[in-house]
Amino acid sequence: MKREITLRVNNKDEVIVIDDADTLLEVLRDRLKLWSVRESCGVGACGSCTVLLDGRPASSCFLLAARTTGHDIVTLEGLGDGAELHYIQEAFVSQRALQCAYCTPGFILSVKALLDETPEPSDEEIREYLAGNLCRCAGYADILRAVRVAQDKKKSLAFKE
Amino acid sequence: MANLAIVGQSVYRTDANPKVTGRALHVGNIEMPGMLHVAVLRSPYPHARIRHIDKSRAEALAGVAVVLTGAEIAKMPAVDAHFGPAFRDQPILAVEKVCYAGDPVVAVAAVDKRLAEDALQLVEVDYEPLPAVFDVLEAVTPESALVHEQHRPAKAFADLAHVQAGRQSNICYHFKLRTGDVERAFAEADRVFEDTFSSPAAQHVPMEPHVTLVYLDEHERLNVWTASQSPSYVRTELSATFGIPMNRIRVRVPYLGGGYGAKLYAKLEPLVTILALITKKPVRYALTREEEFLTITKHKVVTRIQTAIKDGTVTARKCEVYWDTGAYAEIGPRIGHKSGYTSAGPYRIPNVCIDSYCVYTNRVPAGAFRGFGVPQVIWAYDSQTDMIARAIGADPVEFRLKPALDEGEPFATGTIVRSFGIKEAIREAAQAIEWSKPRAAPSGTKSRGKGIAAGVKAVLTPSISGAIVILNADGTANVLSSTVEMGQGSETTMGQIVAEELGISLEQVHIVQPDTDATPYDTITAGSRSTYHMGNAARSAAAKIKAELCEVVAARLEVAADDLVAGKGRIFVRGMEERGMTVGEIFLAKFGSLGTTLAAEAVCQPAASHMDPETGQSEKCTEYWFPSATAAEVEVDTETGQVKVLQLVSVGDTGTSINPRHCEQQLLGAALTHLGLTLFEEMVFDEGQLVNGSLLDYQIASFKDMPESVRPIVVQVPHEDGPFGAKGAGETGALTVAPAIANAIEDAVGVRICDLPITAEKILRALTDKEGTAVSIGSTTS
Amino acid sequence: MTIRSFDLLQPRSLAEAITLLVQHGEDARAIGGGTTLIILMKQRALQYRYLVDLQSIPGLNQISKEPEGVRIGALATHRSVELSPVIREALPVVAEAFSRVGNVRVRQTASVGGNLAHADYRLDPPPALLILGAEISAMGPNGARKIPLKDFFRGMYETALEPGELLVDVKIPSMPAKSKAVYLRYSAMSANDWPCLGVAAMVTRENGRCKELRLALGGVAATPVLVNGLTFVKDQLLDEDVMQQILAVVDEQISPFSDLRGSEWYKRQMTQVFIRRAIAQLDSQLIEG
Repeated sequence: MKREITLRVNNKDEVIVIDDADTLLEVLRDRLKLWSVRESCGVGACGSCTVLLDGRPASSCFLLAARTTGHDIVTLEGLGDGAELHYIQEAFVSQRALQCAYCTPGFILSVKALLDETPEPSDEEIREYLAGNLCRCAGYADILRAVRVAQDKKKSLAFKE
Repeated sequence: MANLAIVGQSVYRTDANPKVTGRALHVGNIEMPGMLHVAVLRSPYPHARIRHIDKSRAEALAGVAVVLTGAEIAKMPAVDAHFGPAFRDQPILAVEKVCYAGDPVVAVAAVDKRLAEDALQLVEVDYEPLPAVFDVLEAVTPESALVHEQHRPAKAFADLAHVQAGRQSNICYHFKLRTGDVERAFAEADRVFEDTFSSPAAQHVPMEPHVTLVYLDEHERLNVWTASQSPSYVRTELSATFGIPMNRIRVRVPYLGGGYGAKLYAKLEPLVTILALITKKPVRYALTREEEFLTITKHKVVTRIQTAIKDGTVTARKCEVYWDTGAYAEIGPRIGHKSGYTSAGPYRIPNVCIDSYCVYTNRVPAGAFRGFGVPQVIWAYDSQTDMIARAIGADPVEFRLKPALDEGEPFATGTIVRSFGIKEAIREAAQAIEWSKPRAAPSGTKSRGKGIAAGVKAVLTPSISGAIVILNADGTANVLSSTVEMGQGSETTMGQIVAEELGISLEQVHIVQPDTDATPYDTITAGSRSTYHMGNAARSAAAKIKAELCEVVAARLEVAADDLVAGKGRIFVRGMEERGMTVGEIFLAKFGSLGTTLAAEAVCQPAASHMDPETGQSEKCTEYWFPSATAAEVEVDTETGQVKVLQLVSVGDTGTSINPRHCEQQLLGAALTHLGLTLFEEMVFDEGQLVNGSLLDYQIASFKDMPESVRPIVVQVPHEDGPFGAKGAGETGALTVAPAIANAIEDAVGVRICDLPITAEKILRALTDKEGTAVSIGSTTS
Repeated sequence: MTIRSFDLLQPRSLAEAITLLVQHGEDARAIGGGTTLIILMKQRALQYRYLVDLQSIPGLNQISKEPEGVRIGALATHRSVELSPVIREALPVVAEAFSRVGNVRVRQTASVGGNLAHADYRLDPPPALLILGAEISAMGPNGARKIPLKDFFRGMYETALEPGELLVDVKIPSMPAKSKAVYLRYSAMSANDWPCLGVAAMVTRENGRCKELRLALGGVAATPVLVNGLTFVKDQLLDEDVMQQILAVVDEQISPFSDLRGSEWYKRQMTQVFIRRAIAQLDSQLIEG
């Protein structure tokens, strides 16, 4: 069934006509052209299609778009102010935590949620939280360092405020 | 290396910004007006004749542009219904019969994905199942079912010019190496070791699945956007398949979301092209993850290896290597050849006999996978080397070091090795893991052990890379190269090389992404060959431009061109920076205007000498070598068999590093990927049906699988012909992970696993067998 | 992969949802978190004309403390259970079991009711809920009823729910006094993988001896298994003799089959190992605590 919905994406209300069978991933990519959201495994196992739903990471590949109205959806395009890199993005650059980078948007959003939930995670907590984001270039050691750098930056920003 | 401004510096990636913002262009982001989407019906049978296809109901669905079968393609004049890099054996869509469960049979192009998939459900195919063969050792027997009745060579690559049209056999390629007197050495041996090792089919799992978009432009030229590691080859293949002149085909590759060998040669391109030609509409086909598993795999390999020992030394080795290349040969023959000739190891062994067979079976086609088959042969020879060392009471590190080839000695092919840091790699690995220190005592159910493994890969030779460098009047440069940036950092590496040569900054160099309308031929982005081949080509092209600049400056300043150097965007007299000219000044002097450009092309084309088909002997079988060593420390739970890798050290000789940090990243990434392949990755088949073809069931190494201590060590033995001494790094870390872990497990608990992956269950089984009694209820201690 | 078009029906009450399910019969299916259902529908292994959205019914996602336990609404997510202060305090073993499912995103979406109604033999929560004596509340065309969780799982992906019947909530009794419980999950392959098996154990002590032992397992039969016939441990010390008897009882009641995570042989072996480990862990906790 077709229906018109309002999706709150990156702080903007998007009014679109969708099919009930459309996944959030399909709507974000095919309709809203938010290319940072990527299909890879299609089963919620890899994290390439991660978005933040009310601040928490979610796999857009197994969410029905029609059921995500009323939630606050953030994609990588909506991270930070859009003018400069967000400090998590900066940390990924400085720690070289990217190679082919198809997984990178999902990782960055997951790290955002992780640090919002747990400002000072243990290594174990980082591994557990990010275990569902897969990187076939296997840059996990670099990503772990990037989380630490981002964590410190977040702390210093909070201190300034 | 002295006086280098940027080569050798661990600069940041030039593609970092687009990648961390998610703005990096991928094929999946490209849309065309009126674009159609593809869905493909695949065979449920591993081997069957297609009796009849009824597609009428699918065709009747509104919005469906075409429903295509292989039989229709076979009837099209001027279209070759089959393609492939070694043999033209793979149909665009199955013609008459299917050869594996997952073989594409019917393709639908429709206005949206859902509709295309709806249409597929309306297609009915009537199959007549045929006898099939799933086991590589069974496939080589005369009784086996035949996968193909004939083998038609493709002639696309120089190094595969020798593959021959096949007879009535599943063996599509047989490589032979003979040196010394093997039979005599075995007869005179003190001890003979004979073992069989196996390595399963696995999938590359690039996070970006294959995707291809094809459309005809306003000149009816074929435009192809594709996630490929080999844009030049794709153009050649499409030209050969469809009889289209090469200049009417344009292949472009933006950033690639991982390749690891999966995206080499042609994959979706022939099918999407024919759909675009038929419909006259832009057509995009993006594989699902499940289809990815049914498209290409790592070769399953069975290796029988016999080694003769005399006076504590290896005197002879016989290897029989069976490559299960699946239903279509793909690049199997190249792998059987290039990896085949290295399968006795980087050692001084006077008598060697190698038979390497590339064999068809009714399974998913196998191709290149980070390491091009070499990890599979090293799995066999290094595991056995370790077993022999332990059996004869030799120190496993010394047992490898002593016969390891030195610079200037001949490899088993007769080729004299150069830039061959195998001993350095072994020593570094042993030192990093404190090999000589006593092992920790077992604690409860946990036992620890250490392992070292060593091996070598040779670069694909001959192969070709061309590059064009264009210098702009403002001192910036564009580099036209068909090397694909797939995560390895080639864009940054090429930028560093060209910036160094032209004396400009990295920011002043732009690397143009592969576009066959503009970027010259490159064999493939694979095999750790780009830094050397494309790096040399780009550097030589830049050097030609520099020479032209110097000529102008020499004339103006009345100095010898030889005394001029490039740096900081200028050409100046060595040691006198103020005596020189900027690029702008030179352009004004040369052209009288600033609007022009200076361009130069160069090609890097290392040759190989003839290899004797009976003995595998060649004066030069390869341009350079990648020595690798891995050290591992493991902890084995003797109640469960579970292995925890505590330390993993990946050592590789990459030649001089252009970007040391990126070399380290390549070593470690390859090693961690192979940790998963070592411990749990396996495509499991049941009667030819893939059982675990989804990421719910097929697991790859995740954050939680990473050992607490991981460490890359780059050994830099410069190569005299490499750009600034560089070789390459993409595969080296992959080569020796599996045997290092198997060796460490034996060190820990005294059992030897010869079949990958090394699962906890296999270890517990082996421990149980060793104890001689099954672990009965309650017999363990808590 | 796309899902074949369907109509999403969004009832505002359970009664309305049940009416819709009854009305559309096999053409309709209820959707909770939807993680598994959506995947199967994308693969077109399942196709429905209607999905009845349970998320649109208010109040089904509550987690509430009750006098004799905790009640978890069917639509509560795994993540909300895992992080719930009520559950972490009263039933830490439940929080632990839910925290082991899938990954953080799956847990953010997957619902408790969906997990149980899916009846996958390997899932982590059922063994933990079984040892605690959890009870399902269901509502269907014939009204409401209670189903003890031990009677809920009927076979591979089969439950006691009748057509049109919905799982409303699960009630978990409080832990008995002087008892401790643990859930051990064993992944034999990737640390990220489905479990080879999971073991939940609860020991209640009295006067330095065992008063009661409850064991439940996942992954070792077509359904989660609550071990029966352990009453002989009453007033015993859990020494080697008793342990042998326990393991023998367990071995009789499981029927593991070979899958990607282990052969039947291996799963029997691991059952022994992890039951020992679970009991050892509890025993030391009880001694210390």
